[in-house]
Amino acid sequence: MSSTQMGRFGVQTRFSWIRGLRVWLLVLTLAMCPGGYSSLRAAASAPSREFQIKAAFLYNFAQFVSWPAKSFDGPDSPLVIGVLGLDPFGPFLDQLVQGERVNGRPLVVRRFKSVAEVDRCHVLFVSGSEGRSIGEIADRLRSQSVLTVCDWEAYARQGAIVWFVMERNRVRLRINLDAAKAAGLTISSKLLRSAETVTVSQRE
Amino acid sequence: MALRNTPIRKKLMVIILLTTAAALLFTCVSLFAYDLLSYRRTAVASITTMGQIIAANSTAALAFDNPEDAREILAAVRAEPQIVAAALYGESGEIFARYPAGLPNSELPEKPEPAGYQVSWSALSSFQPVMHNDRELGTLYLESDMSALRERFRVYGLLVLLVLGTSLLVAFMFSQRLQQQVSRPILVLAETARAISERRDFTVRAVKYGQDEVGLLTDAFNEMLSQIHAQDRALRESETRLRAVLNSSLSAVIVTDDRGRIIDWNARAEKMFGRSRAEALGLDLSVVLPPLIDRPEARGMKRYLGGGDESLEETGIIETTARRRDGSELAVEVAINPLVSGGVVTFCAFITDITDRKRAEEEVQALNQQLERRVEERTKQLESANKELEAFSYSVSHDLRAPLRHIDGFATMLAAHAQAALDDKGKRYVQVITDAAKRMGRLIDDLLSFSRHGRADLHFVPVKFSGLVEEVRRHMSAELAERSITWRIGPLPEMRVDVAMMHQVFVNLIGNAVKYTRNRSEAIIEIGAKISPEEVVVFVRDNGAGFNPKYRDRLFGVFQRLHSESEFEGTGVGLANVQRIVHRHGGRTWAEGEVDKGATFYFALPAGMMTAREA
Repeated sequence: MSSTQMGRFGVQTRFSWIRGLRVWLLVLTLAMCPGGYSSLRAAASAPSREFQIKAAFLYNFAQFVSWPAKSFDGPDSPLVIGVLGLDPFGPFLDQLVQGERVNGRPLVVRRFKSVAEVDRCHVLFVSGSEGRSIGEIADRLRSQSVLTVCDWEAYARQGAIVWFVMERNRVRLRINLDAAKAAGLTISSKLLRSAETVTVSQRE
Repeated sequence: MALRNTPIRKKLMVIILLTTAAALLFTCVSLFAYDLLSYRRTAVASITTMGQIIAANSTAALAFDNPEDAREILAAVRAEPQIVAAALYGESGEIFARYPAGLPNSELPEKPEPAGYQVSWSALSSFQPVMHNDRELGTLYLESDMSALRERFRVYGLLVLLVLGTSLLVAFMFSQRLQQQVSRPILVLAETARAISERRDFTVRAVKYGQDEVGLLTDAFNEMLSQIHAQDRALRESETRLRAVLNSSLSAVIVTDDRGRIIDWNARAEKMFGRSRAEALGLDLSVVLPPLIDRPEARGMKRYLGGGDESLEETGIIETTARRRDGSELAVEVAINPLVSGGVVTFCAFITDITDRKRAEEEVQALNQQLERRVEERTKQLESANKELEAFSYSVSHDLRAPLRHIDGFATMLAAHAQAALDDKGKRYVQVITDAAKRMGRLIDDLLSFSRHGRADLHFVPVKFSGLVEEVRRHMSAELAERSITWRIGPLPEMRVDVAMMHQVFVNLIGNAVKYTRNRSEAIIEIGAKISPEEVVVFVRDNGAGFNPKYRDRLFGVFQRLHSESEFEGTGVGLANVQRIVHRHGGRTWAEGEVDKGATFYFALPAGMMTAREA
């Protein structure tokens, strides 16, 4: 497990002082590594708390959603978290998933400039920068087993499965069950319980 | 244990109640403990299960940061009223959701703790991780109120008290009746034993209640009583007999214990000392007798009392003075016998009143002294008479010698002068005169020597008797040359005697033997000695003419002769001399013999004079 993840996702240690020690070790490691500079910069330019939460949610989706087997090349092939368009997370997301596995699959972050590049992707965050090509995105992804996630309403109304909604300064989830069903995804009832579910009919 | 001295009735009761209480208490406590344990286990299992369900349900709420959802899920514990608090902690340990909603932070643990549960008197709290796909998303805390447990404790306690109380009451009532079965025979037995030991009435018998051990004990007790009764009677009879014997004793009998206190006193003692038995018992023996322990007769007793000797010795008979009650004294003879019986030492003093005997003894002694004085007086008179007589006879003898010498001298001169004028008859007359004068001279000589032997001082020196015998025989060698004599001389001792006088003794005895065997063709003379512890007896035996034993006592008298001068010449002074000399040596003389069958002359001297057995 990488030391970067310690703060938020590390195994809960019994003693807080060990945790504190590990944070200090992280700082030291970063300072002394030859390639530490960019990491340090990434840490320095960390995303806002909102996007840190959203990044964590992206990672968590991998845990509460089941994809059909055909969406993977093999049993060991990675589960891909994609970011389409302008990336609001920066290296934070990469650090978050690095070394993590879900059901034995490694997690991989990929970034796509256009929807045409999207292939073998399981969770796709569609950045608000892609408003222009919303129709294309919706069309292209509708037939794929991709959990589409966005934080803007237009796409949410046009086929995104998960919509991050800000409510009283909290990130809430709205899940379009029809879209999920169409994409062939099974969403854990626990996740559904914790989210607000909508159907197309309700939406329109 | 204090129970040891409580009455048996109480003891039984206490035992029954204690046993009942202990059994009940143990049973109740074990049931109680088992119930509490299982209750606790159930509570733990229940809280764990509930926690697992809640944790499983709250994964998404934690993963997607939905506290409302989490609260809702937590609120499900409402169904379990004993759960008083619940909380979800996020990954970084902050409180994410709580139940009940308004619960202040102070009521919850500040930070999540490792998985596990903790039971305290008032609450059961548990921490469980919230996991999803092996990922830990947070921690669930549940706290269950254990007041139900306390309530259970209370109810149980009351129940135990109630059961215990009731049981003890019932046990008490039962045991009140039942313990009598056991205790009554024992109490009756104890009462009987007490009555007997107080009244000494061995005819009483204990009542028997059954055939159990107490019944057997009662039988044994009664049997023992009859034996004691019989023995007691026998003892009394024996004591009465003994007392009768003691009282009929002519001696006073006093028994004391080992410290000298009088413990028995017979009738004779009552009479002798003027004290009744009751009065004398308990007094010290010293009120009657002076201390006797230093007497030589009590040597053995002293040794025993000094601890030096194990064996007890009775004293010899001690003469002492006893004291009557009125202070007067009486002469007594005391013998003290130590008696050991059953490890206890008592002393039995036998006391005989010897006042009368003492008086008789004193009288006899006084008479004796008187007699002795008289004898002494007489002896002195006799001695002086004797001395006078001796002096007289000595001077007479001495004075007789001069005229005798004249007779002898002038008769001899007459014979020579009138040789021619005298006829044969005249010559014979002169010869008779001469012979008679010579014989008279010898008599006078012997008489003088006898007298001398009576008066001369004695000089004692060790003398070998065998040497004396040899010397005597040598002096007589001329006489012996014509004789045929067989000498049998045995071993003779050496003794401290006056040598000249003892020589005279042997001269006389051996001379006699030679003389009186003259008519024997084969003379046998035997000389020997017999040594006994008291005296040394020397004898001279011959096979000569002997003597008539009728005159045995006259043999040693002066001028006493049993034979005529013509038969055996002699003056009759020799044996008198022997006796005189032997007497002066502290010895004695005697003789044995028969006519023609030889004679034996003995003299005995005190053995103390002997210096060697054989020399």
